[in-house]
Amino acid sequence: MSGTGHASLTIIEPPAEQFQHDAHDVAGDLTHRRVLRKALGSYDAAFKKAKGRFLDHDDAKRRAARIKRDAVEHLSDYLEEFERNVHRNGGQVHWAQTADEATQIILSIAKNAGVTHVVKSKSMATEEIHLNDSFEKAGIEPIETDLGEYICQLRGEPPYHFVTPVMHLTKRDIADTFEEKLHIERTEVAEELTMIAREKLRDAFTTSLMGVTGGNFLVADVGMIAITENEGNARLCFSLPDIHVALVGIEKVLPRMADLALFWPLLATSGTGQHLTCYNSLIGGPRQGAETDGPREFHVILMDNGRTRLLADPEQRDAAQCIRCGACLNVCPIFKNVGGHTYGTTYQGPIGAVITPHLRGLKEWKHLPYASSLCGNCTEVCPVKIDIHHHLLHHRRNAVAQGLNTWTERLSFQMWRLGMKSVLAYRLVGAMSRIGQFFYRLFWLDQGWLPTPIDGWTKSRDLPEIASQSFRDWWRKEGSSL
Amino acid sequence: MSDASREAILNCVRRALSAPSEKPAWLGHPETPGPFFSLPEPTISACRDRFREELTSLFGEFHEAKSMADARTWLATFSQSLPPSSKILSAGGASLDPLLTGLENIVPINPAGSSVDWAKAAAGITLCESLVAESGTIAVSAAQTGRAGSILPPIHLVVATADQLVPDLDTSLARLRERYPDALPSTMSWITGPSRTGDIEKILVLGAHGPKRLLVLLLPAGSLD
Ligand code: SF4
Repeated sequence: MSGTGHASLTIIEPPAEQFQHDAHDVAGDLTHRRVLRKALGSYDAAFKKAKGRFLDHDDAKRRAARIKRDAVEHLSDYLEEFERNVHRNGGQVHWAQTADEATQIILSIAKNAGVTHVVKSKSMATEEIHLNDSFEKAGIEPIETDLGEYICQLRGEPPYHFVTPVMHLTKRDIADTFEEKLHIERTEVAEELTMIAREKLRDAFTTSLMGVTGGNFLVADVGMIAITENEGNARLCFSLPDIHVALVGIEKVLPRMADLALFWPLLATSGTGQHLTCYNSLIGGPRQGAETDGPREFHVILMDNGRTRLLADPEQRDAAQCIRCGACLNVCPIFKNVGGHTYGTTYQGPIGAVITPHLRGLKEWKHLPYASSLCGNCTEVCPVKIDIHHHLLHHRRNAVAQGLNTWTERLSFQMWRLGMKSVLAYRLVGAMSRIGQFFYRLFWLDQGWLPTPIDGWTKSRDLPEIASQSFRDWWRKEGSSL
Repeated sequence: MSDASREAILNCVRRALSAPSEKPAWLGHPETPGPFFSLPEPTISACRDRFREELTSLFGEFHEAKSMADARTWLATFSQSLPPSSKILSAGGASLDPLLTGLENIVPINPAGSSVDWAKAAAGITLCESLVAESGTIAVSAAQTGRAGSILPPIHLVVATADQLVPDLDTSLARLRERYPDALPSTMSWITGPSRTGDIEKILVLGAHGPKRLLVLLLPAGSLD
């Protein structure tokens, strides 16, 4: 199957090596760069326009950050308040410490009801726990209904970006997928492709007994979850089936329903460059007495799965404020070069690089905080003012303090330290590199014939020419006359 | 299993939060209270104009009826514009009766008792809680109009009255809490334009899973009381 920006088919362990391998492949893929540039270009234009509708966008961000900070700093109180209010609305609340526990809860609800297939709307929490695999193993068919996720499911690929899952695909790629998997007459028209998915999924909505969704917010004072979407598939998922199950991370709390008047437009602006997303819904329970339709059961699963480890790091705790708008990915030069699949994580980009080491361990994932130019675009764009790029530095510092870095890195920094601490050594290195440079060129070592790990640096970079005279010497001769 | 997990998670959270975090610099910055966007004057005509402008810019359709008779004529035309023998779901209950009498293809939404395949209906008519002028948004609730009627059929027709216009989202949220002080409806949705997707190369396509067409019929204040 054609397509661009794939994570490689070769599975490499550990994740750091997979990252290196995939990053190298994707960065050199010109089609992928073109597709991504187009998608991010239109996001950029829309974002600027939507941002312009705020009287004072910076002020709105500060107000939002303050609300989310309060929510996170008093999380246990708000979670209890949320739970009380869901109960009052007739819904059920479950708590899951791990991915496994969340999976067991969902499967047992499904099995008790004798469900054969479930309709799902887009939810990164369910991606995080690989819920679809578990459904399949249990003999229950999971059906992704968000268009992007549906395409991912047909292709057997994880989402490329946690807001726009098939950002890396062209119409042609999607046409290929539909032709191959759905055996339909080929079309490359976006509207026709969308209508094919709509038709294919209609029956699933009307026949499924269970709908599974995520949740963008847990609204404490009313005990409701808030879901934002453009297509309407989430609304169908919580309107038609008999049972609605929502899996949500514990950090998604908002204190008050009134806060949504800020968070809905803020999320739409940063997420897709819309003023408001097409559908913003609040769901607080099964159908009430006089209501004509709606599920008879409503379950919310509050999942930890590593989030309390993030909370326990006071320095990086603000990362729990994240509303998953995806803006930090869209402005990240690393994301633009290596693409979403290369991260190998549920949450890609800068925020993924901050939270993944907490969720899945610094030892295995410390390469993500290193994959950054530290330009700070992410921090600047973040609507809830998370200090993202500094946290990447904090992770690096912690990795060194825990002795998780490689011996080559330790050795080179020790040498660097020696060189910087002594005038003599510093001058010696300068003089030697001028001589070394000559041989470097003479023996074509600059053509990539250096041994690992040095070639990791020289393979894709030209060594800048070293000046024939050092600044020190120049200053001694000329400086005095200035 | 769940109770133990509940305690474990809450204890973990409490323990984690007992270590204080540093206050970021922006926290000291003064806030500007007040609205986030430029709002229309809080009059019916200003709100109506803004609402129409926003809704139509998102490919929604708007019709203002001067009287109930006018509204009935408009509805008859709308109904005739649909393919022959198509059904229109009414999810508005008895309050829509004065408007819908005389239309033959109307079926009340009642999935349990009805023999109509309501998933195949051509359009759904619903009431609404409020119309948000600033963003062209329509608030609907399950208490008043159910869940499926406004999302399943390919055309969604909203019947609203002018007194339901509010300047902004803030007011719309507050209104619902005032209207249902004891228990909010089980779901509420704020609808901004017809269903859409940009998943394929960011090309805008209407009618992804929800309605392709969204129409608002605005009646004079108090018409449905
Ligand atoms: S870290 Fe900020 S910018 Fe990135 S997804 Fe989260 S809220 Fe959005």
